[in-house]
Amino acid sequence: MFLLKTLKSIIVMFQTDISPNQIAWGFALGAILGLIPNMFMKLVLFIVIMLFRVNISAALIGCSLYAIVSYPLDFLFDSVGYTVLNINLLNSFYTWLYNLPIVPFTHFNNTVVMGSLVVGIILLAPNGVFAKKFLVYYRTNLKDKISKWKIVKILSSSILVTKIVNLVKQVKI
Amino acid sequence: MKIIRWKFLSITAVVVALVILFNILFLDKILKNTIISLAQPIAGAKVEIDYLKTSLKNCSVSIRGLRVADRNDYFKNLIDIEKINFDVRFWPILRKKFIIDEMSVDGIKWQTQRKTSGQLPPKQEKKFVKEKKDSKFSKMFESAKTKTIAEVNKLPSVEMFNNIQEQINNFDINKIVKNTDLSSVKEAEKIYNDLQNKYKQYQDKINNFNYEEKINKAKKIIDDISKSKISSLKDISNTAKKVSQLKEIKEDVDEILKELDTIKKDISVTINVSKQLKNSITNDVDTICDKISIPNLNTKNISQMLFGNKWVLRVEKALYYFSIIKQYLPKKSAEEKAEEVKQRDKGRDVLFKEKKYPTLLISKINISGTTAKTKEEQGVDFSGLIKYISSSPDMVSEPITLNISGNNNAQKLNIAGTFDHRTNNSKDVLKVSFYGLSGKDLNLEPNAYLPLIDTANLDFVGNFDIDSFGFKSVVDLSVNNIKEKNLNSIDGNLKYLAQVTNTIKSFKVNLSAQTQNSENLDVKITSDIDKKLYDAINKLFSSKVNEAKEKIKQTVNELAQAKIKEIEKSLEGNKNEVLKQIKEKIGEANDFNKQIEKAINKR
Repeated sequence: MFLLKTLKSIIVMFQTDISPNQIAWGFALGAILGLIPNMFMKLVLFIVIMLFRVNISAALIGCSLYAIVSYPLDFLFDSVGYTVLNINLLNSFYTWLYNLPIVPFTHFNNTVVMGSLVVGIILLAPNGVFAKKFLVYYRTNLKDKISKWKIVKILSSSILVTKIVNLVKQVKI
Repeated sequence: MKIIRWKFLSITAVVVALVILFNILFLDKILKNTIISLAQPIAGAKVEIDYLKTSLKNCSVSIRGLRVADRNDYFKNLIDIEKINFDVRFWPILRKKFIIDEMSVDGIKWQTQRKTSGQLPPKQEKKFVKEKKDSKFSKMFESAKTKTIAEVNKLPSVEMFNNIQEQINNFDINKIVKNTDLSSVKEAEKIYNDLQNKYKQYQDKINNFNYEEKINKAKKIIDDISKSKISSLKDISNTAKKVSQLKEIKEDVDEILKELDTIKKDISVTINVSKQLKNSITNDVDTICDKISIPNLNTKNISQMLFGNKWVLRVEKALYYFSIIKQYLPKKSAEEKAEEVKQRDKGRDVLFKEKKYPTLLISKINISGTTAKTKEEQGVDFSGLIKYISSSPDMVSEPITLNISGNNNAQKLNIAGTFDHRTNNSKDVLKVSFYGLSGKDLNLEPNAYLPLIDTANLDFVGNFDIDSFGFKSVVDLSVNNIKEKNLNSIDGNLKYLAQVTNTIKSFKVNLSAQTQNSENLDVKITSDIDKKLYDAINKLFSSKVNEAKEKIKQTVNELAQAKIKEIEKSLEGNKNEVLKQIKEKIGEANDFNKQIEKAINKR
């Protein structure tokens, strides 16, 4: 059911006129969410995504894509994180952070956490720009063609989706 | 465009409110259960908390009625605390640090009675026993303890005391005398035989004098002389010859008279067998007395036998609690903190200079309590301070210190300790002194050979040292003002023992136990009770032996005198018979001598 609803909301996101900026921000923030391994930091970022009016479906797409990508790239995040954490200029800043309440829960001093966060932040603007451009291109060139697909029509119909959900519920009972 | 999703914000606020509400309603219960579930496996017995209240406003915790059961006696509490109050600093909690500046622990009691058993459910008990068994400390001490107890039990003193008791109980002089071959009796028999032989020899001698023959011969000569007539020189010569013969016979008779007189004088001496047997009787008494000599006491072992097992068990108990303290005061070496990068499963942790806050720090604990186990009991009210309890002692500049004192005029308590775990080589020192305790606290089984220790005043001074290599504990016990046993309630020979042990009014005991590198447990127990008991038992035996000697002397004398009387009576008869015979012979000889003299003078 969650999958159906998610699929529906993704199709709705692409097919309707939701602001491209919201989608771009959602995708970019979702990408960071997918990259970082620390649960506490994920929770903080999730609250940020939920709190600000960015597109949640786009965030989910970004999170899923980058979560898959992040696993083979741990070695890269490790070396990036190690480099960043060992910048002498920032040492006092890190020490200050390290001694703040709550912040140590983010595990920012871990090389993979810091590396993935830094890479995520670096990719924030490119991801945003890419997502926005892709959406604009899609809505201009692909939207009409795809809207004719049967699966898109089914999932777009809210009545049908509701019927399928109820049917699944009855079968479960 | 609205940037913020207010709906999400309000939902979040509701969730936070629910979480706070949940904490207010259930946090206390959760915390209470958590403390109990954490403490029970440590104590190995039930832990109970009557009431626990937290306040989120001040981050304060208040606990009432904390009781930890004693796993050595499930119907007693190892510790019973009336109330505990403390505030936790808020911000460090967010960094998983629990910093308590001041804690108060009031109404501490120990060994209080429980209404219900403090035994853990079988599952938890099994887990505790396994963990305890598997611990390095437990294995080390268990092996050392087994060896020591075996050695203490092997001590000859146990047997020695049994032998003493047996000797006292089986003390029967008549039996001892009966089983002894008395030389005085033998000597008396010898004297009797000798005298009998002597009398017989004299009688034989008297009979062999040929007395009759001499008389007859003399009578014939006298008769011849009286009948003869002197008519010629030849007659004169014959008569002179016969007179000469008479003179010879008279000389022989005089000789016999002399011998008879000598025999008479010899026999007439009073028979005094007692005088002759005096030395033999003395020898007999000495021989028997040697058989009841004082047993050879090994004084070094007495106190070890009396206090050995208990001391080992108490050391074990003390060390068990020490081991718990050690276990929950982990060492954190400075070298570990100096490491800049720590390898993790995913990535590496780069460590930065951290403010020296351990996970748990209790800067100061004010404690107060009483040694009284019940409200009715008169105990010592004590108070004191524990400082710098920390989960990472190396982060704190001072070691954990403990200072407790109490005084109620009759009793005085002082406990001082330092637990230094700031380096890899930890060192714990605890000094406990308790003056004015009761002798009952020693829990010694009543013993016929000991004075009434339960009635005494007891002073206890103990030093316990534990470091990374081993432990050493030294305890000085001073037992004073021992009351006397009531002799009326004691029967038999033990009464004498009680009389002697009643003379012991005080004694001292020094107990030490140490081990190095987890090897052998070296237990040493010395006490002046060894000497005092030795002297006491010695005195008991000396008085018993002197008493027995008198009785033995009397018994041996009685036996010898009976024999002597019998002998003397028998000998007296024989003697009188010989004397009578001599008297007769002397009378006859004198008459005969007169006749001879008359005959000679006539001619």
